[in-house]
Amino acid sequence: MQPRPRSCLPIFGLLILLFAVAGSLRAQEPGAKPALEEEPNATAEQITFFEREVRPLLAAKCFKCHGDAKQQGSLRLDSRAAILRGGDLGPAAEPGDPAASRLIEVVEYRGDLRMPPAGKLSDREVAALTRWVKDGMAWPAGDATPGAPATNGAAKSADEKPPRPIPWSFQPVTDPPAPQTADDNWSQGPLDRFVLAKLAAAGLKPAPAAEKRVLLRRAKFDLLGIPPTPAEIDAFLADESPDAFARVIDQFLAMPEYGQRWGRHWLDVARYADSNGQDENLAYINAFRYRDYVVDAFNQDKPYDQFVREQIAGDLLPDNPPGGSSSNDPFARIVATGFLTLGPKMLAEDDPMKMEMDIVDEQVDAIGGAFLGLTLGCARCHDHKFDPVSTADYYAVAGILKSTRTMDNFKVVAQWHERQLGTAAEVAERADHAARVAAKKAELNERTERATGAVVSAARARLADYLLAGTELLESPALVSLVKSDTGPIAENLPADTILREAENFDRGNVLADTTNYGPGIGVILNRGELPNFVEYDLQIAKAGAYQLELRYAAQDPRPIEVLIDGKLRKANAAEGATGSWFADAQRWSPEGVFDLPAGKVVLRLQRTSGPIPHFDRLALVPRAAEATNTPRLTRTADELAEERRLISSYITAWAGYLETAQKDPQSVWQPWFAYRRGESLSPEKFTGLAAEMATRLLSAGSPAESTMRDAADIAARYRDQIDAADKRVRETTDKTALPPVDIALGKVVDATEVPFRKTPKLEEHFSKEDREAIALDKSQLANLEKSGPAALPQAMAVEDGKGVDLKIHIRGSHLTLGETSPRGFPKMLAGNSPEASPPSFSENSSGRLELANWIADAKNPLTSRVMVNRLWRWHFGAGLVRSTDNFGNLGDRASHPELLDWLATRFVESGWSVKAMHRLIMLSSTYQMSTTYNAVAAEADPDNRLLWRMNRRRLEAEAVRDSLLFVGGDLDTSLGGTLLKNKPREYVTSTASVNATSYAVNRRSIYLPVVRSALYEAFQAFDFAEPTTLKGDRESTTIAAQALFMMNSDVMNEQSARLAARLIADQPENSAARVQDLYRKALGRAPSTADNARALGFIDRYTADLQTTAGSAAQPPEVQSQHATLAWQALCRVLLSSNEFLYVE
Amino acid sequence: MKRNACGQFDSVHTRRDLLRASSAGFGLLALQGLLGDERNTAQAATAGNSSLADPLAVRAPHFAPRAKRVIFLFMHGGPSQVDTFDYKPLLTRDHGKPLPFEKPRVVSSDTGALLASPWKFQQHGQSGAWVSELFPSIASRVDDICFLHGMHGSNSRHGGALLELHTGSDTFVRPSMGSWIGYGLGTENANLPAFITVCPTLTHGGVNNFSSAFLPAVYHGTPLGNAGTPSKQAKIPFIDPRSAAAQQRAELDLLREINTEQLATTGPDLALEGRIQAFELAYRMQTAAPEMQDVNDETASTQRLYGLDDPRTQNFGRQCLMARRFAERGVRFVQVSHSYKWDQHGGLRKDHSNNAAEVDRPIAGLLTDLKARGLLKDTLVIWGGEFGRTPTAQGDDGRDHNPHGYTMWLAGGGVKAGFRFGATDDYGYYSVQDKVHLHDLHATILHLLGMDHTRLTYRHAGRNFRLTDVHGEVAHSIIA
Repeated sequence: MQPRPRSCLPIFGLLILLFAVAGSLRAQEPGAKPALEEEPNATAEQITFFEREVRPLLAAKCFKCHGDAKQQGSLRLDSRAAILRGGDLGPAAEPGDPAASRLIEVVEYRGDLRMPPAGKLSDREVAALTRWVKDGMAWPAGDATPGAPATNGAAKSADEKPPRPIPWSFQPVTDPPAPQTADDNWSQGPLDRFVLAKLAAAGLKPAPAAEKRVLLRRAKFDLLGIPPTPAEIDAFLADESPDAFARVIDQFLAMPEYGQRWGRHWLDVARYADSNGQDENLAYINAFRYRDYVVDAFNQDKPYDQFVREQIAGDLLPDNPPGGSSSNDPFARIVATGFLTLGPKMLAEDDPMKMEMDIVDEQVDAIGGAFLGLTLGCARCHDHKFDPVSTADYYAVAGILKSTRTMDNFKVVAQWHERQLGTAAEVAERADHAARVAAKKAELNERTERATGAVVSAARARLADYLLAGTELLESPALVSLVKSDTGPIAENLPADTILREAENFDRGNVLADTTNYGPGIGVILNRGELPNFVEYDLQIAKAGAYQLELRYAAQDPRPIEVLIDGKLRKANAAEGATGSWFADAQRWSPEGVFDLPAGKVVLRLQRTSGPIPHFDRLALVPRAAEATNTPRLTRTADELAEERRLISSYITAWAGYLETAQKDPQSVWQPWFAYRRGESLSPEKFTGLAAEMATRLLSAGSPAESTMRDAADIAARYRDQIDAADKRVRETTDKTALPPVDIALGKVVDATEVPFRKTPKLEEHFSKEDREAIALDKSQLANLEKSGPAALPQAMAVEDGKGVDLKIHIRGSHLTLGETSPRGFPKMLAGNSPEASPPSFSENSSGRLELANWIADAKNPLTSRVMVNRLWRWHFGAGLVRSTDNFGNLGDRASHPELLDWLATRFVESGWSVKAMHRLIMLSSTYQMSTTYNAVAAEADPDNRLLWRMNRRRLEAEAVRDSLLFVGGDLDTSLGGTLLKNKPREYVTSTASVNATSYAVNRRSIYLPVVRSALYEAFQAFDFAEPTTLKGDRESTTIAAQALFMMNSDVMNEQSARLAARLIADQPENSAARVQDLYRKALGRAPSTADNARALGFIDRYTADLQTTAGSAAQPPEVQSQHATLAWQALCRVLLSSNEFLYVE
Repeated sequence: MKRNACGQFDSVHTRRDLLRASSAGFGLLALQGLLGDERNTAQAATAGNSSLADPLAVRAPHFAPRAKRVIFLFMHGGPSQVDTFDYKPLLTRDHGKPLPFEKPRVVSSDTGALLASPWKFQQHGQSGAWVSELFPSIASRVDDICFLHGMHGSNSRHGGALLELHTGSDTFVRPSMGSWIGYGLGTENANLPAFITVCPTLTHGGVNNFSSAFLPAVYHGTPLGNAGTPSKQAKIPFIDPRSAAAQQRAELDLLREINTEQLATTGPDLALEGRIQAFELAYRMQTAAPEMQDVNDETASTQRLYGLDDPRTQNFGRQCLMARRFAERGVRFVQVSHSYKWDQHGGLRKDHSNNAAEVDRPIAGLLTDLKARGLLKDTLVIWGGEFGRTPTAQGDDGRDHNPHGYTMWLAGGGVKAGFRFGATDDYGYYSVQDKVHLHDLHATILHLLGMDHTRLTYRHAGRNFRLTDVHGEVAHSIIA
């Protein structure tokens, strides 16, 4: 529905309009208050009507949501003034004009908005309301319903809303000096002094420094996400130089694993995933390029402001960006805009406008949350409740994204936009080649079309023959299954020599034999991916004779196949029915025809060239001995008729179907024909409508006497003549309505768009020799051309600029009710702090993304640097200085150390937005280097450790758990980049058969495991992996039983503990104590204590003994004993790898 | 208190409040084992509070509940209301005629003229509810059922509609209603999760339909297999009862020793303690869950009641029987899916018949069994699909999606028995009277469980979220 134009008018304008009308009617001075509360000329009768019929109705059905307690849609209906003032959608009624009154429209349930929502009013009630509005909306003077607002006529306007408080974070970033701290031999720099001052104020002291061993483990997990090796620990412990730790940090920051670790943190913020999730879950096979870009950006220490600019508007940046780009990848900046594209999307949404706005909304929210820590999305439906962000601000930003091309279309299933990664010349070369291919295809199509036309014309000339053949086919008795007509067991007493064959036992074919997914004992064949599908069976026919072929299959959609016997096409559209679903319970036996077969070997081939085959379960060939069944044999198949009469088989079938439909219409022009076939007379009076007219024409054409029509051929010829004549008249007449209806009906018979002679692509085999050769030549040229083309360029999920458009405010977030236009721009309260004196103007030629990116990445933007340093702090300490890392608005948490946050933000910008510089700054502080030592007094005073009296103990994240297991097991592949997704472009990643084919059994780092939305890897899910549909700068760390089950039983754990055990045994074949030593150093980064050692060895002994007891016999052969020992060591490894000490970073 | 999700709330149910309110001692922890967010629990412990917040501990609802648990029988695909429970004589009379009023602005695909139901309807029971011949067994239970004939939703596609039905949002990923309920009420069985979903679909949003989204992971729906697994083989991820139990016990004993020793050196840390207990719970769950799935100890007559004797009904029957066993043992929310079978754009006659035949006996059996065991009075059974279907024809034997008016039904759990609420228009296209939106259904379900949907909130990304967003009216008229 188009919104009514009235609702597009600004409320303010309407009021002025209303005032003007009222003023002119009542000759008031301009500006005088109109007396809206009473209807000036209401009669006593009208007031009585209002009191009796209308007020009780409004009170009963409307006031609950539009009265004192609630004002849904900002609308009240409890006074005349309130109704006229209206709500979000403008005035609710127009006195005297029910047709223009929304109140009436909604109670009539005419549009999308229907009131009251609980059910339509009775007709009487609607009539009462309508009459009341029509009569001018009488309402007693001075009598608003109790609870109504003072009706002084003052309009509620946006300007009058109380201003939202400005969040602290909107203030400019300052550079506070670090406090002076007395007796300070703890602080290593200003950072520590900020912390120490707060602690001192609370009467607390920092925890002692962490041991070197602990510090190294912490640093390596922090920066690389894997544990230190014994060698690294030894080296660090041996290095007593004062800058030992600084050098370790530098060494870690230079390793590619750093980008894999910190890139993954950013991917949480970027809600990264490899599929869209939701309905129609398609593979984002190119999303990995964005992921690799992020890893690369961290490894390069790309300046953060540049990183921000590239993700929002990389494609629009000038060639030499401020800050410079050291990227080796010339397309990195295009890839970076994948940030905007790779969000979750409902690609199946029937309402394209809704889909588009949902996608824009997702982008606005992602940008606001990731870079600014603002929940901009809240303002989609109403002004932000807490932050100074209005709907106008929201739609100003939304307009920028609306002007950006993210999607190619909004159909079901919608297609997101991808860009080719190539130089202009490379892209042009491919476009040129594509154009040549398209031209060749057009040529081929045209030739095929012409050849098809020739075949159709020739067929039309033989209309009488087709009529006869189609009729014979139609009159042939239907085949009945001899095997079984429906589900259930195979019929007993099938004749000897019956051949029954499971479809999956084929001799040749390119299909998949699936014996697992369709139920116990059921095997089917289905498409494996190569088209055309075919399958062949070598059958041994005992006796020559007629055999009925039956196929058992399931199909949700019709997938007609061809049946070939010994290489010859015997049936064109076999198994063409839909049986309901693909599942086993929809499988049906379908008799397909009777064929004369020779004795001996026969090759039965089933194939489909135009798509995949149905799901076949079994096939049967049943000898057609007459006495075995009373089912009559099919006289002749369409193919046999075609061969005998040199006709086209598919047209015979089409004619049979066409006539079958015509039979059901008593007025059809074919009724005389059917009457004749039944041996009845053709006298016109027994027919009605067109049938009667047709009978008359048949009788009067040529010979007047019914008796002269001796045979079917004669009548068929008369039909043909009548049809030809009618067709000629139809083509020659411009005003078709002037023609007798029977001519129109007859003309349709030879129309190429109608059933009997419809052009179909299957006619190719009937083309003339010249046509066939020319088409074959075209096809080979096309194939060569396609082959000779340049290789396809890599594609990236990336956006492009579209035409710049401004959005109208969507009232209550609905695209169906639009308000004022909100020109593209930035949130006003924040833009006030923008360095630019006046906001940039947004042209029609660009989206405004570049301006948005520059505004966000500006050093003076108060949020961007603060939000990012806080994120970095969070990922180092497990909690941010502002704990709500993704919300810096009024509802977010306040900073525990606001001055420190600003000091850090200032250093960040000063460093050229260097993330690595921030790591050094943070990690080289005493604050970072504290131990986790418990302190009861501090715990009492500051249980949340907000003041940082110790380091937080942290559990490893999902990826670090898995990576560490693989690392300690000696099996972690830390290579960079690429994709593990096996899907084709836009292929479904989760199927309707509820199968997620993604394999996680690989040894790459966890960041490279596909993130399939709606079907996350369950091990990650158990360990609080960030839900990839919204940004998550602050992952939870929960403890649930599923984590324990993963440790106890998962394949990953079993494999890695086995690998580790094997390494221990291989390295120390003789010495058990040395093995325990190795194990502790590898897994926990420390030597075992005496108690650890004794306990471990005791466990091995008991475990081995237990296995031997279970195995029974006293004397085990050495290989079994060694196997038991291996199992015991694996068990010990599993225990250590499950221990809290392994899973937690001190 | 304002009742608007974007508005200011009393955060009765933030995790922190729960922690402060919790009075469970360490002994209870040892029994119940599971832990929640470490930062919060750490806070509780270091605050000198020996109590421990178990996020699955039983919590008091806002007011006296009518139902203690829920069994949701989900008919994935969208069963047709006009062929099952919403009798429309005019549809039969006007078969073949065009729909005499406008179709919705947004439709999935074009449909044709009115299509009469191929099935005969009859009135049943004392209540005289109309049920088509598709459901002869459920028809015999109508006096236990409360029909909601005026259901409506907002989305006409499976994905959006599934998400809306399960989470209240058709666009964004939000916690599933089972997760909300677990969060609100906890679980009554320490050995099982609060929210179990049997053979859930992995399509149309998949995990999102039983995900805890931003609620703590402990409230995530625990899947038993998926729609591709026969219910007999469905199991909880990583549960492996085949593991050599004695050896595993030995490993866990050593692990506990090592962890306990480490704990002695760290000072109080509830996360570390929680992990020690989590292994014990996992070990018990490994025994408990398969045992609870195993229906062999049910009597032959019970098995028959659920249709386990018939190959057509045994798969879904086993799901229903498991649901009863889980409910009986205190699982808060059990979902049972008859997965993606009800989407008859074509083949309506055959496939709706087959589908109904698969679920009719098991569902009636479940109602009978719950009643006989006295469980029906505080177990809310919910039946329905993600939407209904059009009364107009798609092809000559199919119907398209229709979220504008359809039927779901409830039974037990404090709803009126033998009751019909709401209506669609004369042809069954739009809900017109006593309409119940999915938000209203959610509000009503929470109400029956003793929770005010406007007060069951969780703070995430700077704002409070609700199952019902800013919507939802409790359908008080259906409450007994």
